[in-house]
Amino acid sequence: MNALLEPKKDRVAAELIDGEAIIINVATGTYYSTEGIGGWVWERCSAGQSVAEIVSMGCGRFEVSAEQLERDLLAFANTLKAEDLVSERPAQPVAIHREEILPAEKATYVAPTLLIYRDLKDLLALDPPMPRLDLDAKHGA
Amino acid sequence: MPLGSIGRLFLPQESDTNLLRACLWQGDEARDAFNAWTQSPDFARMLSGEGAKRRLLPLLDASLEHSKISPPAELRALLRASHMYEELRTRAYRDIARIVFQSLVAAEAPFLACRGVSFSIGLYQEDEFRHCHDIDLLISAEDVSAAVAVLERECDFKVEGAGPVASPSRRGDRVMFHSSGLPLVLHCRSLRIPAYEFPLAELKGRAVVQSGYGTEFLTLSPEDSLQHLVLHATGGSQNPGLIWLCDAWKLASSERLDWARLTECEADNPRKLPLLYALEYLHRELRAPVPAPVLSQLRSAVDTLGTAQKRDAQEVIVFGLQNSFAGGRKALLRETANWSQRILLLRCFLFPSAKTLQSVGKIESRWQAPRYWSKRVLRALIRRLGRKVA
Repeated sequence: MNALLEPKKDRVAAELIDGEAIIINVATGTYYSTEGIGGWVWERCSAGQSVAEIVSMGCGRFEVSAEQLERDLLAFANTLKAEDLVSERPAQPVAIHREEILPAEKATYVAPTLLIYRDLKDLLALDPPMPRLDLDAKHGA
Repeated sequence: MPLGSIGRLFLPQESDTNLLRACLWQGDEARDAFNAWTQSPDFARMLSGEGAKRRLLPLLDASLEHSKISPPAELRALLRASHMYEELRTRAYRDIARIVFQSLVAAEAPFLACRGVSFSIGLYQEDEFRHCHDIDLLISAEDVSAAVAVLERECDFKVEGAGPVASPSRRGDRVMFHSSGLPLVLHCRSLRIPAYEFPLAELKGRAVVQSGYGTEFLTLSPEDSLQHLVLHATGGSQNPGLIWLCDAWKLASSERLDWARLTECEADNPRKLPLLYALEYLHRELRAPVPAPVLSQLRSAVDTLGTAQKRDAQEVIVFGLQNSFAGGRKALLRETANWSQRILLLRCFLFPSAKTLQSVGKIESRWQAPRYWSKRVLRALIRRLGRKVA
């Protein structure tokens, strides 16, 4: 479980809007949006936090048990990997304690899910040239 | 007008007008237009992949955000993805355009930038709001070879096919492709329909300097740009979409536009009719600030045309509509109000007048018209026969 999920910067552009992540895989012409705490998880992954860290932080932030969150997170991670949006590598064994200001009340938990739209080619203006993915902070994956 | 409102069919219908309003207006008016658009069948068609409107999505997204309008869930992700994609794509487009413009300027190759490549940086708040699917440059026939050499040598472009386009309506144009697939068109003629064409020397005389893409270059004057847009959409483009109306609206709203110069042209020029239709639409439906005297002046000019001249001007529009109107000729026929209009339209399709054929560049002399008509009938018969055999 102590793995890092790194967004693939050579093919993936993403943006967080009102807690929802909008992700484009420019290599496959597919776009995605997240539901539940998916946007928050994506943000954590992009910030370089490991799955273990995300579980630990999520339990302090949402009304969910560690087991449930871990299970949902692994399922979400598997979908991200299957869609070639992230690469997985082992996290540093040394635990890094990141400070986070937790809300006074825990938020309602909704499992992270990824909505997949494979019809991007039909819906977006995909004329050449292909997008340039030297991303700035705004669109950083 | 013999063909009634048929001549205006190059302009959008109600639901597309609402989409344009949502893109161009602000506040409650934009909200009302957006809500009306989302309730139309066109909205569902767009979500299922209707092509012509997707180029407007980044502009729509920005406009909704500006007016604090929340789109329905099924559109929200698409709008954001489209805006984000276009922003990233625009970076690549900008880089290519920068190399093209800087190289051509450095090589002193004379050209005029037109349409998207010029509008995206000159008219829009952000260049990603204006999707550009190519780079359009106007250039004299004698300067084409030098420009092609520069583009091949320095900008990673290659010429499509063996040489200049042979099609009569695009005679001499050179289409080139960047290694990324982006097309660049060197237009030797300002418009495909000869009757609408502006001599290149005149356009150059009125051209203005524009800064962008890391250099300074010449582009069409705002007045020529507006006319060029309207006339290109009327008869020169296979799928003009809607973005040209956003360009036209922004040009009409620009302080740089000299309205007096816009209406200067020969008394019997067929350009005046589409220009009047487009400006009336922009003023009435999209509330573009077209001055009332300009509209009156154009209306008077059109009124002074004889019946035959008006019919010819409408036929030129109909000729272009055959290619660009969604659904083609059958759909156009459905738009007619009565049998007399239907017969007139059929005559335009089957036996356009010799004057119209000359105006649209299908024949060079009026004497070639009978040959053109008989070839057309023969082709239709062969097609029908082929279908029966199949």
